[in-house]
Amino acid sequence: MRIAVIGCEYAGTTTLGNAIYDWSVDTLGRTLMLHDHWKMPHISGHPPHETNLTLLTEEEKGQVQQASPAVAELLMRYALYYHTPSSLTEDPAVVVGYHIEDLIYGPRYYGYGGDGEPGDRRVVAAHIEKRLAANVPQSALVLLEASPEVIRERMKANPHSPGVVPEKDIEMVSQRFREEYERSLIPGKFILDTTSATVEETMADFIEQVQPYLTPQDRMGLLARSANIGV
Amino acid sequence: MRLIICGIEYSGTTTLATGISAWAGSTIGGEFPVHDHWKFPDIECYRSGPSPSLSDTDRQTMLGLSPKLKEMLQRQSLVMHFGDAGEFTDQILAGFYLDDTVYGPLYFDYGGQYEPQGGPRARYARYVEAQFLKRAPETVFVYLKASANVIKKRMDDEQRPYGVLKPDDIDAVLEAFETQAEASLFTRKIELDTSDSTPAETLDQLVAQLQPFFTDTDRMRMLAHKALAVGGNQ
Repeated sequence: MRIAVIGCEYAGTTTLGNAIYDWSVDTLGRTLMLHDHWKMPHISGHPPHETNLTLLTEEEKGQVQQASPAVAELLMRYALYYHTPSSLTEDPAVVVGYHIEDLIYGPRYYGYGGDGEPGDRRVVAAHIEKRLAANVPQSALVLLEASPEVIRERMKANPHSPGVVPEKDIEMVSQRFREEYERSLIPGKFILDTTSATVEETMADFIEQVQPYLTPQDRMGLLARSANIGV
Repeated sequence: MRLIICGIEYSGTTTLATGISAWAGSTIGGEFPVHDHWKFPDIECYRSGPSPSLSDTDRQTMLGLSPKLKEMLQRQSLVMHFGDAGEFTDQILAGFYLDDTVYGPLYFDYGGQYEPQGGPRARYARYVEAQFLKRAPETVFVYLKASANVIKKRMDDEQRPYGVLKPDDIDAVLEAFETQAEASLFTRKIELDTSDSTPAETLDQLVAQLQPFFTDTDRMRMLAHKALAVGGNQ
């Protein structure tokens, strides 16, 4: 299972990513990698499932935030390729944000990757998806959506530090994610609306819709876990 | 054709990579881009579109990044250059992973014994080699060296604004590259000493020693290039 979870900030992508991680461990018996490090300056480490050795210090976050668009572009693009398998793999992973988030946020908020610029994110995204098709054909793309009003409420109730999307851009960014979701060549896709759903309800919906994209290893894990062998 | 050309700074890796790229273009046909961006702060790589160099301000930013960020950038850049498995690619990598292996711990404070990401770089180097052997077993490893005196003289003759090597470290760095070259998992290896050779002579030596390592595909391409050139098609 390799899932890319995308959506406007505050749509619930990180929450769903963590829930998928827990479900994978508990139900499939598989520890997957959860990569949720695509918003500047949070570009390293895998909280909450890893020791803090690889998390950036406040000073390091400052270095990332102060980096010019040229340096920030490199930091992000190298990470994108690094996290895209270049040979066949069935290692499970959930990638939150990923190339589509960078394609939307890079040109708009970080000053890099526009059309025809060095590291053009349209070109990078196409290459990433070509690699995914070749090496992880069972990939699925999940778009999380929520109404702009709910996004605003969440933004006020639990503001990210630093946040990426300003309040005035919520409608536009939500629309951009919908456009890129539809444009994406990843064949497995589905949309979850978190506007009025609890995390448990969203997760139940996810489990139902992810079934076609479970790998044979996922299914064997599911079977082994449900059989309670030895109990 | 895939070549990895490694050696101490000023041993001639860039010169040889550029030379063999031109030779391959005129003999095999096609383009043989050189990836020679493994010494901080010049680590930028653009695979498509415009390929600008970093500004001096960007270079200072790069040098000011923490060891953790430098390590991350270099490791991710190394992996980015593994290439897609099964995909035909010509590659000339100059410096590449051994620049990272040797200079990372010595000058940039990452990749030492307790490196949390990927372990010590001396061990990570073997991982990189194993990946190439699995994905591109035709890869040829070219190790360049020169005497300490020659390296020092070249350094004095051509100061580089963002050079990595420090004069006092020449002997230690030479030894580190030698150790890594000896430990390398690559079996298709060429070793060249550039102390007393001109760049043209070194290129000739490389071409001669590459002969047994050209793949059937390389040879077919050479034949095709020659035939088409005679026919006036190129």
